[in-house]
Amino acid sequence: MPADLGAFLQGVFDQVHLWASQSPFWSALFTLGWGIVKVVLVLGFIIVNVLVLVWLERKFSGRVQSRLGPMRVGRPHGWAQTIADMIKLLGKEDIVPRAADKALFVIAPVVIFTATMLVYVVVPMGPRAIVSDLNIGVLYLAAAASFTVISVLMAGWGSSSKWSLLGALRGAAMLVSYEVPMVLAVMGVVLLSGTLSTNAIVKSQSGLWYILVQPIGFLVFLAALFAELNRVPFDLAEAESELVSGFNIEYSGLRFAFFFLAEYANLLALSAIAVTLYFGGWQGPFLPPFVWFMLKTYGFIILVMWIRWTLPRVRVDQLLEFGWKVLLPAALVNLAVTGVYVLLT
Amino acid sequence: MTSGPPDLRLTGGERMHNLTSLLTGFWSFICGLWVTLVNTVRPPVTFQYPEKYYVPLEGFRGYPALVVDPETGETKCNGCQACARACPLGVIHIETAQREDKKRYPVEWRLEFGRCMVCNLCVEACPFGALTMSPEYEFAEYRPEDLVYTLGNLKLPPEGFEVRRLDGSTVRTGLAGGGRG
Amino acid sequence: MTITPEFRPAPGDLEEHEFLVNMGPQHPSTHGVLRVILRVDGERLVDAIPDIGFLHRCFEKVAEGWTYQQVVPLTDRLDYVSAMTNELAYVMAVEKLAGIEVPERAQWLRVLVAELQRIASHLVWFGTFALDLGATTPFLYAIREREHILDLFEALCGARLTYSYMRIGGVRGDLPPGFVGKTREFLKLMPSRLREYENLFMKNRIFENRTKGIGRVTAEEAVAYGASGPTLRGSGVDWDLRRDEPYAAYDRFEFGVPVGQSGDVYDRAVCRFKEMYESLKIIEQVLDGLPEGDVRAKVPRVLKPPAGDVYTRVESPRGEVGVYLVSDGGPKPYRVKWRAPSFAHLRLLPVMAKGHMVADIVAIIGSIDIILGEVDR
Repeated sequence: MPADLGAFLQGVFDQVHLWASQSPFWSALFTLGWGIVKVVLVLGFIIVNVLVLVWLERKFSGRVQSRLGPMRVGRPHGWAQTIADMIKLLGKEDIVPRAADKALFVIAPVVIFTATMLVYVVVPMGPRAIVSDLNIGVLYLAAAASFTVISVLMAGWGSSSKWSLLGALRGAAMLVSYEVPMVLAVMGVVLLSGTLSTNAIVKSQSGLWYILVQPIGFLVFLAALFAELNRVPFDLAEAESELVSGFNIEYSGLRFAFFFLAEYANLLALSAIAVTLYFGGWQGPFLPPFVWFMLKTYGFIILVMWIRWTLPRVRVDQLLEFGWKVLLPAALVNLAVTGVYVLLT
Repeated sequence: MTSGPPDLRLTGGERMHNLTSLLTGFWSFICGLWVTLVNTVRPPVTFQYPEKYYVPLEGFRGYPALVVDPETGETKCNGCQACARACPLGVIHIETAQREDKKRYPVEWRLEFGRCMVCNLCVEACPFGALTMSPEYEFAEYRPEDLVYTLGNLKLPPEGFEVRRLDGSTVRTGLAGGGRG
Repeated sequence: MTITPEFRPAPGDLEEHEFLVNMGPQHPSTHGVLRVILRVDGERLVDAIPDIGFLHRCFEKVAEGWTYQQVVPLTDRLDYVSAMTNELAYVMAVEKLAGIEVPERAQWLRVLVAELQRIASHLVWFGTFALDLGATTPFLYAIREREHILDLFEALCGARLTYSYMRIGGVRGDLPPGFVGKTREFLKLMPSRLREYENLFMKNRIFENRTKGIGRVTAEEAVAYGASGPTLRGSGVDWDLRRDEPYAAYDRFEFGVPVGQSGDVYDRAVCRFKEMYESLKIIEQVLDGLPEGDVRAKVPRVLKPPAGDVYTRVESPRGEVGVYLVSDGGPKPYRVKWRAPSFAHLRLLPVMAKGHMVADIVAIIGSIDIILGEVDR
């Protein structure tokens, strides 16, 4: 059935495209419409998955900690807990501090959510199921992932609170200094596959998943992932920073919901990227590609959660030292060895 | 800084920077992850209250209750005020009267449970074994006045309460027993 | 730095680059209502001044108005995490003053509950310390294990936190049926669980990096400031009241006393953690050799100790809990002075915190194992 569905949808798409190409006006309208459809699909995918992820995190942490997790809201195992929490957040009073820089304060949550959505453009969920198969996919990823830094700084500065600003500065320092090893680790994968396009990277893993040939690169990428996601052991931007709650402390209600959703959307996006780069993306026998993609992504997310609920938090200066003095050299060594290997074969 | 050269005490970060320490550190993470994984497959130790009632252990101190003689339905209290004197907070108030056969009995027995700290001193002070600790724990009321217990609701119910023992068995208690401690 | 009567720094007292951070009474990591005023120079702490009194409940004054027996449940509420040792200190003081001899079985039972209490208190410390440092999971595991101990106490005396178990002249009641079996099960279970916690948290590299070298206290400083318990032993001073001034049957048992070396947060934490293993050993010895007999001596209903004063001390999980009891011959104590170990340790906070980063203060406070109930009384 899925193969037929894909062919059927492709047929419909081709027909409509044919009709639209009759005139420039209809052609432009078609392109615009198709773009909107893609955005809506991606948004829908994000929202549904984020709701599931929040619930999954709470249930998984309960499992690890010998307790039950949400059970009441939505009788079998509290599946509606996240929806209830979102409704609660929507109903809260929207407070903007008087001394806040209103423009920055209001735009910051929007920027962070947009930054997260940008990553989904190059996530391949199937051989042709990708929003836009850019042939500079990995470069685009590196650029899109840096957007969150701007939003963190906006939120910190715009909140006009000393502690918020300091938390944001620390968070920004962490995000920036961990992007470098992340990109260098990914460069190892790029060298092996010979292409920057994410879909092509997945296709080139049909024989061997890159995790098996890039273990050091994967570990560097994993560590940098935790920093990019603001999760324990690297969650100082929102947890302990200057003894208060970090860059989003002045936010409440819907704006806070945006930060919250963006955090989990980011988790999903970067896990999907990790799966794409190291675990063979949508490749796999017997099952449809989309199912493989979801299984692998959720498996990776469980790994991330498992690490989160095990390790304590790293102190900020140790975190930066670790990034610059351990991860960066490791990534460079990995790149050098991979380069030599590619040269020799 | 205005107070001289910076304090360069060891902060532990220096330990990261050679390969063996990196590997041992990584190994410590793996050990931690293994512990968490093992605990994932253990059954949860919590259960859903109030769907499932928590049966307290025998001897649980819920609130002081009056023991009732199974035949007559009367309390064993004769109003000697030993418990009221023993109570550190003074939350027990008893007024007595005399019956035809010269035996004293309490006509009003008030316990301000909102202030009671359930310390068990009243139960131990009673020379007649008229007080015991009931193992109930669901006391919430909407008004503080409802937390003042009187003779009627201080008497132990005839069916008693279900309590657990450490060996896992459950027993019925509070029927006519009670007494010291 | 001078402090005005409103507990603020005097104006003009700060250096140019310094500012104050208020770690307020409401804070997830201060273990109670503690306010710490941090004087920060850039990233470095210059001073850390504790502001206490938020939990003051006039224990010592109330105790003057209650009879000796009635004060026992009151002492429960001081160091509420380790109530048994509080009660023990107090009843020992009264017994010393009144010359009451406690039966042998009661002494052994006192040791039993005190050591169970020590494990329970250290589990709370372990969980909250891990929580402060960012690891949520060890807290849940510690609470899960502590439930076993609380079940034992619930069966023994009817309460899980404020026990009211010790009486002047002994203990309130004997062991219920099934207690010994359940305790032995617990003794079998606990060492493997403690090793799990070691693997999960105590041996974790991130934990070591955050605690080694932090909050150093030399042995001389620790002794000078009146530290006791693991805070003192972490600095290398080998002093434990249970072994060096034994009370309540402790001289009959063999147990080790973990002593640290460098007096940093790590050593104090490891000392506390290892004490749990030693307490398990003591409990096993108690169960193996528990003598028969009464659990309570005959004491007059209205106790009037002769006039005089006495000071007794016990080794609580936090350190040396001392009771200075003054009697005037009447049924109520004339003065009960409580010496709380956390009070002395809090004074060590500026010494420990100097020169460190603001992010370390949480680890330092956690290593003192402070309970505001006994600091403020």
